[in-house]
Amino acid sequence: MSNSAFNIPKIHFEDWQLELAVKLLDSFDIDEHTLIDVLQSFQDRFGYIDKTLIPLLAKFFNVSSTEVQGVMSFYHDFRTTKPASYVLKICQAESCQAMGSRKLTAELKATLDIDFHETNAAADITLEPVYCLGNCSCSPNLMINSKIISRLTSEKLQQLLQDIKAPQND
Amino acid sequence: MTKIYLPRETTALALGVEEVKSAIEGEASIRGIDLQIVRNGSRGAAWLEPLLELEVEGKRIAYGPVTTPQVKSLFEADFLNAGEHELKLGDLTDIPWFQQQQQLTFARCGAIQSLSVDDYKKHNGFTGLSNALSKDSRDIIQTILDSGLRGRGGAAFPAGIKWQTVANAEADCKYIVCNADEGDSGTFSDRLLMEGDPFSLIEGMIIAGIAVGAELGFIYLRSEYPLTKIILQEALVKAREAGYLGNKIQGSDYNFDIRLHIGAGAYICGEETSLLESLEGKRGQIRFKPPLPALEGLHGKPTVVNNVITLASVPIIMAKGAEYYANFGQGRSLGTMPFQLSGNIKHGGLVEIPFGMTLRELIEDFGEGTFSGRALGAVQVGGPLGAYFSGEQLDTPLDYESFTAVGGMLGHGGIVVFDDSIDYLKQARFAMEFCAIESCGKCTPCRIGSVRGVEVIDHILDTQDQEDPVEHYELLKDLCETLEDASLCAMGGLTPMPVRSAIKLHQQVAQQADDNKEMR
Repeated sequence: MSNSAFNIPKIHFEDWQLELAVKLLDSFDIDEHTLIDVLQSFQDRFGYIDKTLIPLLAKFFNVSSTEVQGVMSFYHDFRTTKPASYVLKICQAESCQAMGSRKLTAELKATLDIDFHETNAAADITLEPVYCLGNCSCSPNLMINSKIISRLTSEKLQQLLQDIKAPQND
Repeated sequence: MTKIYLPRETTALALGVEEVKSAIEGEASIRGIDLQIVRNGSRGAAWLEPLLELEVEGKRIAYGPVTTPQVKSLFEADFLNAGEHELKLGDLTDIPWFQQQQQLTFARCGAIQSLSVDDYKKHNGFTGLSNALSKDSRDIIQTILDSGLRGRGGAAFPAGIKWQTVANAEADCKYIVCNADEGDSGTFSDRLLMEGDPFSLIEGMIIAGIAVGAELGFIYLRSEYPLTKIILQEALVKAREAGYLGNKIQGSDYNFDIRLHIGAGAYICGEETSLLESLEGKRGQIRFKPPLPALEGLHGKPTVVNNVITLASVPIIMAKGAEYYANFGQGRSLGTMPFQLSGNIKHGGLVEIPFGMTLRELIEDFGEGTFSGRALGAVQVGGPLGAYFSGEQLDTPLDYESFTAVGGMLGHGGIVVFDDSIDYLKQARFAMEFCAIESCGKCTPCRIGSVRGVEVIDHILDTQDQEDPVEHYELLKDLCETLEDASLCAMGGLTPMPVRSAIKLHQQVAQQADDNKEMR
């Protein structure tokens, strides 16, 4: 595995369309789905929660816009801007710390020239922290578009960043 | 036709099992060999993943860890007929890692096809349920009480008492909630169980439903486990098709169904009241207790909230009896505990053993020392809210009471090993930082105290060469007391545990360094 290239498919999020959102919202049932379910469904499709969706959700659930924003801001998963087609989450928790994740995180931030919750200048990678991926017996770990890469080293990291740039992933 | 077992499990996946599978299929097709690849879960030995197993003359023969470039040579060595190869491990039960375990909850995990109801039944699956169906509610709860089973999520509350409280509550509707928001760093037992033996969790939840009179259950799964989500979805469909979920379970008068809910990335939602708020679609802010969730839980109804391992231990207790389970363990810590070896460890993975082995034995006998090869530094036990241990403290027996006595906790059984390059001050700082990031914000000491804690430790880190930090340590001590005494839940209340223990070890190391200087 360490010798071969990383083949990570891009995620394609749809462009935000308010009219489509209105239609999608109709398919939910207020007795079956919670605000969190609906937010998750929209984020899976569009990659983030557009601010024009907030008043629609407030009306749908009969709550205030502030309450919708309150739920969104409470949970780390919800984004308010569209991410790049590669979302890279590097674990910051203890097991990975014990295996050198602090150094790898610093290297990753320096290479991409961004901090957490930012997208690089090439607009292909969004960097996020994560606190445990549950693969702690093979630390350090990172997750890129739902794929976990374990026993991360500086070499693996550079290889991964190179493979992302490679044209076969387009 | 030869049967090959290859895990469909997160660790194996991260280590390239899908690539290995394709290589095996490719090589088999070139050689005109007919193969059946069965997807199992992990046996728990992460250091052997991807672990390949075969059935040869009724025996399981293992090879691992398999990498793609080695596949061709496996065929050349005639591995399909148990041929010799450098990766050959033979019969797993002959390997000390497995021999020294006592697998009750995880007995099926890795042995069976994860998503086969038939295979599950062949391995004593649903025996506990059929016993439960022939008993009344009081007898089921008595069995759980007698087994001594305590909550494996971390709080270690007796499961039977919780069930009894819910059973005795008068209500038109009750719920079973499975807490699968396994957020502690260094833990993955819930994930291994759900990926490798999902029907045991489903069976445990059905039995809980019958015992307390609930007809609906929820699994609250963290979003960081995408493969687990897929496996659980498939398992729920299969359980419904086989008549184990839905109306009139196995022709009985009981109805029970389970819904899967995915979290949204908040550590605090592992706290039961926060989890219930989140299930209701709200901010995961914790609730005051009382009322207990057992009386007023989800949507204000009596609710059992149990961890995955607690619920998945119920089937074997119902199948083999309370006494069988309670014969393992010691004192008030009965049964077995799946410990998870992680961090800087050579042989990491899940080890299920009765309570009572010492921490040192677990790390040395199973873990075989650090991954880096350096000397052992410290071990954090019980997740991000657990204490750091070093030196003599490693001889503490792994049971709930012994760990409480030395100022720690077993928690969910996570064991994170650090080598001697550990920076204790940085670990103490992280404990405060994690609390600041993950606090639900309800209690001031947790919300603001943790931020102040980070600042104080930053100040110590910045100035430790120039000034005597004694005043700042006093301030930190004071902050820890405030967090401990004035927070509603374990997040603020237990954050002082890793902070204090790490600071203590930091000061010991500093003192030793000073002593050494003087001796020279």
